[in-house]
Amino acid sequence: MKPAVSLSGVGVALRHATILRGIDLTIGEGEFWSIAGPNGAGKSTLVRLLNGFIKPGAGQIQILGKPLGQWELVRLRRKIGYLPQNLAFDEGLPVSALEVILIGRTGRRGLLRRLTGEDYRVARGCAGELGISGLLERPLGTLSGGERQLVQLARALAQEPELLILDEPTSNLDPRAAAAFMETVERLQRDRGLTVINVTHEIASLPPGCASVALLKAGRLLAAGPKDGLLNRETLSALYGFPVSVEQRSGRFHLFPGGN
Amino acid sequence: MNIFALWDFVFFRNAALAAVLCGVGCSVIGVFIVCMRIPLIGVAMSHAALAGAVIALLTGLNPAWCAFGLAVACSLAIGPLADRSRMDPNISLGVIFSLMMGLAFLGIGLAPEPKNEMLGLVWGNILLLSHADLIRMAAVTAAGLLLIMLFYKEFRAVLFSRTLAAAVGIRERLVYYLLLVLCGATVTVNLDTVGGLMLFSMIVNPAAAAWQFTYRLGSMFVISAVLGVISAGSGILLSAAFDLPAGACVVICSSLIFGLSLALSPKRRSAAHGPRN
Repeated sequence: MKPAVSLSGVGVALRHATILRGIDLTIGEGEFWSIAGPNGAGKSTLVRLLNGFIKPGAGQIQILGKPLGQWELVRLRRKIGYLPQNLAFDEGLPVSALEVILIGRTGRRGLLRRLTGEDYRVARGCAGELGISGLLERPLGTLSGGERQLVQLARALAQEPELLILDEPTSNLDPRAAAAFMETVERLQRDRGLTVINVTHEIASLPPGCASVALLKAGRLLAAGPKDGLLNRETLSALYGFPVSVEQRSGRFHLFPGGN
Repeated sequence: MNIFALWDFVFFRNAALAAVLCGVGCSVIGVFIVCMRIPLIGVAMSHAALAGAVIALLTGLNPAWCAFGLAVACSLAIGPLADRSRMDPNISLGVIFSLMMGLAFLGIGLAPEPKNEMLGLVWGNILLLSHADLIRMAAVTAAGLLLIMLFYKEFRAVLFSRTLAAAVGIRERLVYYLLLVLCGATVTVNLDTVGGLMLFSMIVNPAAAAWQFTYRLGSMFVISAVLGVISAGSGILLSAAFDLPAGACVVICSSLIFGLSLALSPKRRSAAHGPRN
């Protein structure tokens, strides 16, 4: 399978602290990967590298068919649907859900070109695909946390991305909304054949459709590969630094403190 | 006084037209300033203009161009200063404001008497405007509106979130800095024509009043412009009818309109029922 993302010996140091070191990872086109690990493991830094918000201090990154350094960053970012962690915005700002989704079309359209009927059609189509057509005229600040995340997902889809990167997308959602959100992502990945990279610190949030995981600990890649072979008691105890037991129910992995 | 009779006077017609231009230009730019929460830009730019004018008088340069140039240069510096220091733009505005005020006072201190001319350069009077002033105001207002139309979708994205704007492939820094320069240039051009008092009220009050009525950015521009024109027009009429200072009347009218908007605000009333989660 053709790689969508390939990292070789990648390292990052920010303000004299090493955040990532020696990362080797290949993610194929159309695959659904999760990058998991405890807080401070370097997960968000890893995905911020991919859309050029941070430059690697060492190693090579190949993304969407070209070395990262050969991409004009604005063009690369237009191909990546990115949901940043804890996106802050002014809740009183006068913008509707539709206007936020249209931001996804803004970069693609380019400077000095107006949004067209096609842009509106795509934006409304993405909202319809996620079941949020009824929210389009609502101000974003009046929506619930789960609804806002769906609007952001629709905005990312409106970019017609080749790669979808989700940085802790369910961290502010209740368990029911989190499960519903990840099921939606899973369906999109399956139906559209999207390459998805999902960052999480909660193993339980991994949907059954996520086939592969990369486990990061203290800036190093502890393990990477098919989820079913990796998410066992030994690996996850080593990942989190204390004994855990693992149960698999309905395709999901649940962690409990204390090993048996 | 019969205010209709005043229409026969050129100075009054000029003032009315200037009020409309200022009402549209400043209140539209005010939407960005209110949404970005940087009202300090008005004070910072006015002191940059004052410093520019003082430097020009001391060195024999053209005061109007020097004032405009230094203010625009300062507005160009706000964004990079905030980004490089990783601080809120209000902090960089505070730094620029204090530096420009210091430079202006230093220049005034060094200048020979009389010094009123220096202050007069940047604290205009709407009743003393020439045709050239009106043409300059019209040109800047038109240029501002044109830029907003050309970059509306990018400005909207940057106002919502600079992080997100960058993530979707918008040249976010270019757009953000352009927005700051547009704000700075509009403030500066209107400063030496309508004066600081009227200007500051026209930047903040109509936009803050419009904020109370809409959840749509496009509608906010329109409402703000309409309220800006009403504020300026009613202030000028009040001033003419009772022979009162024009700038003060415009400030009072725009503040009353803001107060009324706040009292009638559907947003405020819905917020009183508590935020949704």
